[in-house]
Amino acid sequence: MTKESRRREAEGRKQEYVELHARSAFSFLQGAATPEELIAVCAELKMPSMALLDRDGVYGAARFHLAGKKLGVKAHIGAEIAVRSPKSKVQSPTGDRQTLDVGRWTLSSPKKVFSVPVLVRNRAGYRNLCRLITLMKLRVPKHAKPGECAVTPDELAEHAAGLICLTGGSDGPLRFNHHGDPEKAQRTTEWLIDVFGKGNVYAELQRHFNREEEARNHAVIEIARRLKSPLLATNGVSYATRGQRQVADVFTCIRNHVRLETAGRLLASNSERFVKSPPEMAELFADLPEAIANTIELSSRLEFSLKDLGYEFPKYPVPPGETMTSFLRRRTYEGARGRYLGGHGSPTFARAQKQIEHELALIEKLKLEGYFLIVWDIIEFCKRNGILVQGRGSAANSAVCYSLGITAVDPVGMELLFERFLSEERGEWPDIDLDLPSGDQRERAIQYVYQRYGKLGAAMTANVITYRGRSAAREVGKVLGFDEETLGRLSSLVHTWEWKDPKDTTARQFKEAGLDLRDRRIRKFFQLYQAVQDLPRHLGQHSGGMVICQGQLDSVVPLEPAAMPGRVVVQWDKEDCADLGIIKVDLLGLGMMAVLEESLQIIRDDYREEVDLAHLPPDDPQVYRALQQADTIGMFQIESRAQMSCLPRLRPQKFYDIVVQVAIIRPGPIVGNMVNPYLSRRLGRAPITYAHPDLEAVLKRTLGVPLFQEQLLKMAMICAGFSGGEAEELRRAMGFKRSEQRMRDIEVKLRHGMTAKGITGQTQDEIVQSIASFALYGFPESHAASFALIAYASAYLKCHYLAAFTAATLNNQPMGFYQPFTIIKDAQRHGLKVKPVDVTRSNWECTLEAEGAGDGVWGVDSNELHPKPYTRHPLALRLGLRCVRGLREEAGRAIVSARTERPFTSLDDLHQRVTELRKDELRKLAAVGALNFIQTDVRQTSVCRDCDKEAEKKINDKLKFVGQNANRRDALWQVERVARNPGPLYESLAEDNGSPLVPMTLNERLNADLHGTGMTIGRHPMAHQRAWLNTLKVARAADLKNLRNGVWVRVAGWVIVRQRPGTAKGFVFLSLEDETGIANVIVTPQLFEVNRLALVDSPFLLIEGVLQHQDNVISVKAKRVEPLQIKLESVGSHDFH
Amino acid sequence: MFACIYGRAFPERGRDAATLLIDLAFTFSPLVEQTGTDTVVLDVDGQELLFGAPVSSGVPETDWALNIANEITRRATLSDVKVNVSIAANPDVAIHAARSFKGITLIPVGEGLRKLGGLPLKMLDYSLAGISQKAEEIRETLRLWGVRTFGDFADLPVAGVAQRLGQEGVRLQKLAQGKSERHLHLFQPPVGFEQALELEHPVAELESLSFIFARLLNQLCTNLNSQALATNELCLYLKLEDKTKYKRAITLPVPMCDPKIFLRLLLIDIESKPPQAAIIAVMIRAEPVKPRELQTGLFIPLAPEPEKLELTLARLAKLVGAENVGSPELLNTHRPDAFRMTKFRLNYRSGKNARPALSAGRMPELPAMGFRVFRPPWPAEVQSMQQRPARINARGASSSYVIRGQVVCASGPWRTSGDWWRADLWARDEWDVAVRSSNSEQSDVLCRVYRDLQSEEWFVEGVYD
Repeated sequence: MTKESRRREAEGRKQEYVELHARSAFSFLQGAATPEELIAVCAELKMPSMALLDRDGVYGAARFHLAGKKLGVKAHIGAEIAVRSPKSKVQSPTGDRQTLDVGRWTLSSPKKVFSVPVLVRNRAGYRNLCRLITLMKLRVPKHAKPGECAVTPDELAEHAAGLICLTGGSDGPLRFNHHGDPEKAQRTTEWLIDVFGKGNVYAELQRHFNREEEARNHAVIEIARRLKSPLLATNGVSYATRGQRQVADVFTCIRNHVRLETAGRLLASNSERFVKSPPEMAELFADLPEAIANTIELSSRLEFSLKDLGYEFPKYPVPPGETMTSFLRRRTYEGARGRYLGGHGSPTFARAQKQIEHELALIEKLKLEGYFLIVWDIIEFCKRNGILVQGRGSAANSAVCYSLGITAVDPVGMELLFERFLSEERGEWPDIDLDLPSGDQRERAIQYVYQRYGKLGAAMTANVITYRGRSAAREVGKVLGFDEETLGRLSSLVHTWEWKDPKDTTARQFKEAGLDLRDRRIRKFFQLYQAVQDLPRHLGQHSGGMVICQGQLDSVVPLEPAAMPGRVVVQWDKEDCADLGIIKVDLLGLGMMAVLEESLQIIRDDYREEVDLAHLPPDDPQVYRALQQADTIGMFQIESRAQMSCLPRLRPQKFYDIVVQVAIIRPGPIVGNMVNPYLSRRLGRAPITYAHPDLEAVLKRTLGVPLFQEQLLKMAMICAGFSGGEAEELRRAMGFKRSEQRMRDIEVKLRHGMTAKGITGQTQDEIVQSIASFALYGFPESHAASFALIAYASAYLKCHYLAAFTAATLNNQPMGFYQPFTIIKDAQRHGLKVKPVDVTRSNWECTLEAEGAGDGVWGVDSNELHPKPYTRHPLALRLGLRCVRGLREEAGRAIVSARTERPFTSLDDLHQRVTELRKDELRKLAAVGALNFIQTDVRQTSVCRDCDKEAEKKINDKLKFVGQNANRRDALWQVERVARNPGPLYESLAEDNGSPLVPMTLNERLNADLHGTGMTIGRHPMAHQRAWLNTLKVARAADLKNLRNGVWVRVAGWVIVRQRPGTAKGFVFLSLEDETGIANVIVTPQLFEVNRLALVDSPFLLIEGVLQHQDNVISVKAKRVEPLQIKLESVGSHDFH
Repeated sequence: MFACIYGRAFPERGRDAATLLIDLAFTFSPLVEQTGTDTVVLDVDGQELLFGAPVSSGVPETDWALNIANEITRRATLSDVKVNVSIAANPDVAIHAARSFKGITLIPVGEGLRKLGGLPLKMLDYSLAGISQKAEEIRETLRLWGVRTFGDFADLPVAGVAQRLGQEGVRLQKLAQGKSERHLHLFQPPVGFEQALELEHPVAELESLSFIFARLLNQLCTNLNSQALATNELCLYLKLEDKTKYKRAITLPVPMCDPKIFLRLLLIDIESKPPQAAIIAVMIRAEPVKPRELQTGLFIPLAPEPEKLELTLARLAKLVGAENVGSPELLNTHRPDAFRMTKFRLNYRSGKNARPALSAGRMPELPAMGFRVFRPPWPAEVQSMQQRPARINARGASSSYVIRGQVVCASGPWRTSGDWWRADLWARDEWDVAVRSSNSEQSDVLCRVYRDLQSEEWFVEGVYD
């Protein structure tokens, strides 16, 4: 080609340009635009493709790829890789400067790091890039300092195949200014050519109207001409639009921990790093048209896109002679026989078989056998190791999952929609979520997956933490240089209460906080605060999502160390993984699963009974009675205040009612105004109607009111003619937090479809509202059914094995809706006898004991007992040492271990034998009465190491006698003596019998209990005030049910829950506990404003108002609020704000 | 016998209770302890002669003690301080009593516990027993024991307390029993580094004032010398006849203590900005600091004496204005030509921070071309062609020199912008241009022009040499 023809061709292409060096906000504080924003600008400028090169990762690549796919922009992938510079001196440990030879090149000191921009040419290149990043990330701890996290030149060379290298900008390998050494730059370029190959290194030129940069460009051009390397124009993009430079500057400040005022030259010198249009770039490089033309040429060389990810789900190893299909079939039918031939009113095996065949055919067609077998394998591991496990989510729609033991809900019996779980049309992987007991058991399952698929074969999905709420406000405020007080006010503007007044404009909020939006800095703050919203801040770990890969996962996506030792995470979040077709299994920790598991063990050990959760009596009257009376404290999913106020109206009578109950109290149905219509229809007060006659088949089961996600999908399919795939897109949009735009797009489509089908006006609005409100949160039916099973199991255990259930609940704190105090009091009211913490009897966990006379506490008077206490088994609960706040587990277990050898005879004995116990722990034990049974006078009893059984019995009798007559102050007096080295002077000094201290009063004991354990097994604090409260004519919580609707009433109690849900229009809900139960109080927004301080801060309240007693739901609508002056250590309430 | 005065501060009245209490105590006894900002204790032994009849006259002890207490209360009331006064044989008993009981409390010898026994334990001042580190732990132990009052604590067996709380516990128990033994930590009044003078007649002339300044500065320097101190800041406060106040502060580069230098500095300073009315009162305050180390390095080049240098600088400032004297300091910003003037200082310390000399074999790294900056920049008229400067016409405000002609070569734009969060945000495009002068007498120039993107105006920033 002649020079002239090349020139003409370049002229022709003048207006064509591709940006091949752009950073997004996924460079974490080094970029200011989301990948979607970059693509959107690109599409607007009619740029055919773009390359995303984030720092040391491909964090934004998935979103970049998807956005590109949507807008027709080809998304090239790459990254800026931190590399230690070759051929520089390194400081030896002895302080001498020396050069280390590494192969042909020399290795630098870790501080000399530059970033090499690389672009992925083909799949091999992508694999190399992922491995290179994984290599770099996994060898240093999380949050490594800059410079620590870099690859060596040799590692770069090993992974260079399939990659294109650019020489970079001001921080690239040729970063030098006029102080620099052009010869060194040339040597570096030669090295890069050596590593990546001739033709794969492009001399990068960037023009940001900067003198130094232009000087460097001149040198780079000269080097490129000398080495015959092609020139490449880029704009080193850091943000999408010019205006985002401000965000980039703010991020620079956050990264360097400085303020804008003091950042000085750390900030950018101008705003030129935005996505420039092809004509702009062509004009900038008018003197070098080949640099522009080369962008098109290079773009055409980059064949790779993320749709060729090369991900493969691992194959399950099957025995010889079997295929995965046959093996899955065999396992499924083995399970199905057990499940469907077992009775309990299940449908016939034949009916199930038909469904299973249908499912297996589809599974085979979609080649998903491996996936089901791998999940089955995890389930089997859990079963073998006694770990309770249950599938949730849409997997419960599958009869195969049910047969394999993955889920516990019978989809055939419940007529669940299998297509919601798996459909051919959708072309994406199914999603199986497993609930495991939280804590160690779940960790065991996770470690099993790691062990089985190798460290580089399985990883957790990431969770991208974005700038939101208070932290964003504080960081932006700090950068703008606001003082602490203003920062506090600014961050308080970000509402902590879930509910937001619709009349609350930003200007009003700022004004109320004493901040003037007309002030330039405040206005700037507001503008920047909004601009940083939702931009990524750092990468976290998703709670349970695991991705598994056939072969090396690190060649599919880079891996990073997680904060938790022994864990690795991928660089994409779960939605990115799903979008790119990477299959994941969610191993989620559920506190209630741990409770169920532990309850079963306790029942086995102490009740000598075996309970099988899969075969619980389905219609236990005691369970349904408890549910109908909202007597559900401690039960899974149905214990919250909102659930409790719904239960007496819904009056569950069969299992499906519990499914509805679990699903109905969700923001989706509540905002969509579906709760009241459903309840009215259920109570027969409203006729069962359908928004459209076609919807009857779908909504019949829920009385014409949509309550589940599946129903919404079917509604969209019927009313708007959505296909299965479109309906699935709708579902994804519902759960898609990232974009409201996506939801709006779908709404337009939905309305269009409905209009086409002749559904218009109010009907259309109603249906759209139903669907849109589910975007907030709604349960799929199968998920609700899985949860309902756990809810039923928890209710069954509570009603029949109260002691075991309560012990397990206490042993798995924190969990659930209520504090241990409330759980204990509720159990006591139901007839459970609770015994105090005692070092001579308690284990670390709460345990069960035979009900001995006199040494336990009922904690309630007979008139406070529940009318039908659960007292089938004569077992009492012994509080464990874990209940003592501040006692370390190590010390607690040491006590138990020493006691197992032989009983303690005195405090001195305890102190000498349990060396792990610290003085403060002894004190804590003494203060809660756990040392009452060991008193000084027992020391006089001659006990030796080899005491026989009779002597031991004597000691125990003695201890028991002393214990009944002892007080905690004696123990406290002795503790101080034994915990302190007496010294020679006092060593032989005899102590007078007993202590000179005055025994604790009742109130002091109560205080010590609350302070030391957060609970009391003695009488409720309100019971102590009852005589006084009676004079004030305060009704007890249990008495409210005997009062008429509309009467004026006074209630008082300990505030155990405060709630201001986003769906309740500013109303505040309080739960006041007294010795007889819980009274519910409703506070209007107006009353809340007037009594805000008392309502938020006071632990005890007296409320006066009107009793609302409708459909067995009892609450007090507050008209007057008064704090009660009861001096107690508060255990705190469970506040939701 | 010891008297304790406990008084509350009245911040709203602008008076410092601590000072008032100390002053009050010194009017009764030279042996005063300042226990806290609100508590003083004084030894009143031997005051019977002043406040009661001699011992031989048989006046009971309580009578004269009551007299003292009454007198203290009376004088405190005159000083606008409300106080509790207690008198006891033990200073700690007196302290606890004054802090706990309103008005006057007299505690006869041996009756400390009887009087204080009912006080809540939170009133016990652990610091009096020298306990600070373990205080929280002991407090918590006593709380757990249910020990609520001084009496409860006092009643515990000593051996038991010693075994459990150690010597700290025993000391604390004695304190609660009113049996602690200690001497007062006597209060030493601080030496003042302020000198003031109310003038009988208003002074309007500098010469008269110099005598007054000299007198005050001499005394001030004597005081500083007596404490082996010097000063690095002198503050002059003048009250003027027109009821206004005049204040000047002179910051010195190194600590000094020479009244003559101070006098000249003050006079130069006051001359440069004289007060607007005659003076009726003068006050000079010196900030006391450690004196300068005189020993310098053997190889450090000699520098002018700081005192003389300071005088020279003061004279220069008087001539050209304080804002035009000093060392320029470049600011850390992209804003072009941003600098500020800082006070000129010589580095009197060793050469650690001194700028390293250029090594012989190494060439300076900055571009060799010099640039002459126009301050302020010259406004210019620039004609552009294809967004590049083509012709230029500029003249400095006070210069006959003109830059006018055709731009033959232009390099740029070099674009900078910044301070976008402030009201004075800036943005500009710079060009380096070669101008062929239209006047044949003037040579061609290479200069830097810029366009302020906010105002859209052109300027010449300077010329390249």
